[in-house]
Amino acid sequence: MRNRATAIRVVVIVWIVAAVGGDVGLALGPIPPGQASDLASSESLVILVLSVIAWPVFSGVLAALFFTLVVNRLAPPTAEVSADALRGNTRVQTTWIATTLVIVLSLAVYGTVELAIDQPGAGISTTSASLPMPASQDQPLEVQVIAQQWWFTYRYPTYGGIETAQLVLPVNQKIEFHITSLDVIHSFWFFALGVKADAVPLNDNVVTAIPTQVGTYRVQCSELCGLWHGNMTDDTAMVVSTSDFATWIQQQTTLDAPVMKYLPPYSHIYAGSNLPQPGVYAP
Amino acid sequence: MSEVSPTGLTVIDDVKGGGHTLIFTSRLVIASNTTLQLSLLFAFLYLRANNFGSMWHPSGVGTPPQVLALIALALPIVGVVALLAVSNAVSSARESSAVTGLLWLAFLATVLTGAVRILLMYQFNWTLNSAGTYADVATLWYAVLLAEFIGVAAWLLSLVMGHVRGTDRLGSAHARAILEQWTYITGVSIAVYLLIQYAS
Amino acid sequence: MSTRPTLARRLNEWGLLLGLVGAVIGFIAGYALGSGAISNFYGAGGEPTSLGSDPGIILGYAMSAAGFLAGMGFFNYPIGRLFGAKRPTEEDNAYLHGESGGLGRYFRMTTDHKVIGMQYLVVILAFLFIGGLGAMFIRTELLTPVPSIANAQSYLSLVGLHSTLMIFMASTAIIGPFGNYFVPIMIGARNMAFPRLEALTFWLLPPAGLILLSTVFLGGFTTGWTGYAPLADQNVLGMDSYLMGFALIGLSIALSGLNMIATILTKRAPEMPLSRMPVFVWSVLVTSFLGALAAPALIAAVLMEIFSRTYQATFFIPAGGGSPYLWENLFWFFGHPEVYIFVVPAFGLVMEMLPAFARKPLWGRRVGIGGMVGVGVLSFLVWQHHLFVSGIAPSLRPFYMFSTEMISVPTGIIYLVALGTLWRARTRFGTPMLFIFAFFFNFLIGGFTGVFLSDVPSDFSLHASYFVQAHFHYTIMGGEVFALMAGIVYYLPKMTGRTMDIKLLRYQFWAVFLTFNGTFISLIAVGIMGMPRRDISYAAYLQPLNDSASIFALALGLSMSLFLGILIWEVVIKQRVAAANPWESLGVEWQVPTPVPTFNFDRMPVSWSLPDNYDTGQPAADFGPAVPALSGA
Repeated sequence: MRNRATAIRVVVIVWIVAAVGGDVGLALGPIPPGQASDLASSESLVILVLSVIAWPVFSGVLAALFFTLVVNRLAPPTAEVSADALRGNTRVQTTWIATTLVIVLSLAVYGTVELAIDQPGAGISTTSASLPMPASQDQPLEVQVIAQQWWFTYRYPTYGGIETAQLVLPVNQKIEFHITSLDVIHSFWFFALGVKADAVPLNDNVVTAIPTQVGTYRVQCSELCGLWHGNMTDDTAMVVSTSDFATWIQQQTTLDAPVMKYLPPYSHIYAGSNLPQPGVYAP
Repeated sequence: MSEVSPTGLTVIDDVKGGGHTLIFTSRLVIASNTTLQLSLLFAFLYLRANNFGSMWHPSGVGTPPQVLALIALALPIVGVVALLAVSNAVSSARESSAVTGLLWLAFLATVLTGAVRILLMYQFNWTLNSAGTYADVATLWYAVLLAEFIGVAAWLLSLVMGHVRGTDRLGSAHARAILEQWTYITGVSIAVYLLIQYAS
Repeated sequence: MSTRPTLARRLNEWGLLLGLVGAVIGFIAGYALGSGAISNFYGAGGEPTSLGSDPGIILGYAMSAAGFLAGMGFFNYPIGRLFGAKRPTEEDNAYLHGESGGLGRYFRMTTDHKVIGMQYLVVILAFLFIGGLGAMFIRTELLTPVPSIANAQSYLSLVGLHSTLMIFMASTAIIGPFGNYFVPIMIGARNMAFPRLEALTFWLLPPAGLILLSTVFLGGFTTGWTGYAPLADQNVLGMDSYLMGFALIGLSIALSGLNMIATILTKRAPEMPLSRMPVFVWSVLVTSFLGALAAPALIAAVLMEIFSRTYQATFFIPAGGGSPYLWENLFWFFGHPEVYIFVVPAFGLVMEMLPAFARKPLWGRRVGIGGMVGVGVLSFLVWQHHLFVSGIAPSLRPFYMFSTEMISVPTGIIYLVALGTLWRARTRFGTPMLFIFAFFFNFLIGGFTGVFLSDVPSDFSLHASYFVQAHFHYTIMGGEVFALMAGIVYYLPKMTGRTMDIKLLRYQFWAVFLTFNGTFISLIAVGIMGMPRRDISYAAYLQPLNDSASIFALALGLSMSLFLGILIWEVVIKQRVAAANPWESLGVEWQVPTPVPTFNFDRMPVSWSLPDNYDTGQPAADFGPAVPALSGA
């Protein structure tokens, strides 16, 4: 009996130490996707909260499993376990189910709240082709991400609808990504900004984020889109200061000038004969 | 209660009480089939509501011919009525020659249903890749229903032949099960007709 | 039984050979029909290539499968009944049931559920190991951040082959061998409700696997196992292999579900109410409902895709009026119950074995059964969590986040039951118990990673990354496959009278457990750091973690091969004899003799109890004083 009580105490203490230690480590360590945008920060917070709650529960269940499997075997033979403890105990069952229910519901509520903060009204927007108004610091800068097999291109309607092969964004400016595809389903994943949204043909998927850190980042396609899906990554996406951005836009506008007349007019979705016909392999 | 032969291999269904397994499984098949029909219904409603690319029902694409479609609905109803009569006769153990006639009538109705539905599908005058998704859903749904009608017709034929050749006692469970399947598929085909014809 | 064998019976003996002949003839006929007559119905039949055209290949596969089944003899009875032929005689039925014994039973259409269980076991293991070879190839390629041994086409095709074959395997890994073998015995039935149908559900598997594997001759497919349109429309002919293979598997799942439900609910021994049914049978019942109700959605989706590829229907092409979301919704409406089809029988099998090792009754049995039913019901309400970032209406996401989070509650109940059963138990650490412990450990990690995915803001970063991959490998492989291994070690003495439980197996357990966790913990890390799935190339800084995963994975492959090697060596070659009831289980399946009599029970039990009365030692079935063999009802 004394052995068992000691064992319980030891297991509980080990668990508390592991739980607290793990939670502290989590709180101190870098949590993906990082702090490079408001969206990313909020996602990091959610992942941190989930981890901080999940780790003690996870380690607690493991500790309980360890205890029952290894330590509790020293317990008296089955005959000494009371009859009603053998097949069930309503109080224990109810407590367990109620506890898990409460934890899970709280997580769901928390997630919903965070979602509402992150992405009010985000998702499919109307398929209208309206042109946006010029952006100021308070208004979002609209950047269209066009996915096709097998590269992303970007259009800036605010600056005449120029199309670029590199993504450059001004820091501390709210960006409104409009993501669409020309052929099959792709997915635009800007890991550092915490932005991921599927690019679906004839669909406009909207995500907003405010980049907060200058730097060079990686953009990748995260929905299997054919042969070169694995190559559809770009290490040259940049977040730069507002003045650098203005310079870059100027350069791009000059570069693009001779080809602008060949580009389709800016629209949130692109339909038409330039899309591959069904059943035909698009080279 | 059902009889089990000494080796346990052969099960003989009693006319009145046996066949519980058969009816139960037949109803499970109806449940399973319902999910299939609901999937097609989802496709119909979703594509119609969104009208992607304005290609749900572009002009120039018609609807299936009315008259043939109505005939294709009337025929299985004849089968339902005949099978209902068969089921009642068998469960009250009435005279058997009427039952044989009714069974052949039901089978004839099912064969004609299949034939008319094949003819109906021949009359669809669209080319799938440029006719929009209404045509796609209508074609697929009619094809699925045709396959289901043919399946139940085959089941009915085995019932009829077994009865006519005396190789199988016609149990009330069997009759009831096939009546339920046929009624279900007829009901579904009526609902599909209404959707395809009037909710396009 | 001394009359000359009828023609039908002799044809049946050569069933497999005739089946192969039928498959070839069927393919040629279907291909000709598809390429010629039918291809122009309703519009252009697509561009034929040197290998063929889509209608030709699809109809070829379909008629090949039909020809195979015809050769095996599956159509003999239905077509005979169409002509009003006499019902099969007792002799015919006895032959079909494998009365004559011998190995030939396993290579033809046999209606004995025990034979079918063994057949399933062999094919499941074949799928597992062939799929595993694909995984070894993938991990070898991923040792380097740039393409090395594979090119884009072969890599994606192997990813698709590995995943699709494993999906085929996982969908019947536990119900196939153990459900078919033991459910009738556990409920006191002589056989399944529809024995011929049961044989059919098994014999759909080899054609499905072969059709899938033939994709390598047709150029492979680049969509992975999820087959998203419109990429699926674009793919070369190899896509048709995926579609037809999956259609056959969907059919098998649905039919098996119907058969199991009918058997469990109408063929139970009269003295066994549902409340006294073993917990494994309950898990099979819940799973069968999932299969019967979810598989039709897959069949609808596959039919739409077949129409799209053959007749240029535009179900999934927005420019033609369709929508990629249609495929995503139909596929995942099936796909999510499908993964619970994988895991719920594992729950049931583990809960069935646990009391024998704890030497204690199952604790919280009714709550555990309720948990499995709850999981089954909820599994139909969560599928949109696969579409969180697809661009669905934002207002839908909180509901599905809520429903997906809720599924942790009934799943957690399984842990409650396990803990309660093991509490104060003099646990015996037989080899199956090691695998059961690993099941609980692995599934815990799998379940918790799922929580991160169910929360939408965190899903933004984790969706379609290796984190998801690790999550489902932890739940499906760490859960179901470990339960499969436990079940194999546990039940082989019953199914074959031989055992594979040797000391080396216990070392193999530790090898597979440690290498499995090493592989997938590395992949959790890789996913958190932002590596997308199915990518042949990745960022250079992720190479150390990928290499770690690959090295552990190759060791995992070796460990799994060791399991198979021990199985074949001890059971097939050395034929190590097992004790009659090595685990001293009280279940009825252990009370019947080994080998199990043809109709499971030489004499019927007069009363039934729960199979876990380890406190009183009362076995599941009381056979009463010996009575003569049954006659009549």
